[in-house]
Amino acid sequence: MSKSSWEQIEGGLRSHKPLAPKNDAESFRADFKARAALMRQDTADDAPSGMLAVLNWRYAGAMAAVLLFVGFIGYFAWPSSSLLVTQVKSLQVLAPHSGVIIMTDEDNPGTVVWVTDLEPDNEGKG
Amino acid sequence: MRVNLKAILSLALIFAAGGAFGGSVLSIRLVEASNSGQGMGTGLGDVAHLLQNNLPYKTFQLQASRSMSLPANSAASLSYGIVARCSGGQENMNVIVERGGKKIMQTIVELRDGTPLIIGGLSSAQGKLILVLLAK
Repeated sequence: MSKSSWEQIEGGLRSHKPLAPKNDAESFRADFKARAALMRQDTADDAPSGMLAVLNWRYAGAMAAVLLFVGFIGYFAWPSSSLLVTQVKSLQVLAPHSGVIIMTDEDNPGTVVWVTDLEPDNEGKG
Repeated sequence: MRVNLKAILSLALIFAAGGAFGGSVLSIRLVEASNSGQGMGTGLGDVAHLLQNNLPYKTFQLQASRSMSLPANSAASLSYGIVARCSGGQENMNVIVERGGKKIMQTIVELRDGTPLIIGGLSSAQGKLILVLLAK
């Protein structure tokens, strides 16, 4: 039976020494890295900022939704708005007449063009 | 999510651009207005209030009705020798009214969906003749 020297015993013990347990900071960092690896991480270049953010589809979509809402509310709450009624751009009366009246009815959406004393020579024709 | 937002934006644009001028048919009706009797003839229910509230007549009778596809480019021969010639789209429609082959009036209108245009003043035996133009 060989006899080990004290140096050999010390070396053997040192090589079989268990790893020192991680401290709290190290374990937290390792856990964080593992979790971060599971989720999408935007880079700084990908994140919109300033005017780019306004032009983003997300903001455009939200604006469109707001416009739709306002448009529908405007249409149904005030359907008689003159903007939604037929407009007369020009009118030329070629037969004898005394005047023209153009009315816009906002309660019953519609436009009335009335020519007064039109065709007096045709009165009674049918 | 991004696709849905694009769809919303597209819908908004379509609504804004085509909401008022999306009609496919133009109807033209000839109505005789008078004060002999009282009542609204058949086929005029959709414009009854507009006629009764704006014109000083008690009786409205439908005399003729025609329709054409939009954009318009044809003539509608009605009774009493009246012809309505329509051309163009709803945004800029040219309407010529003739009687007995003689041009009576010409107008350019922006005809909105579902909002009628009343053109009146032509004389008849009972009272006055009225054209009702409606895009749908």
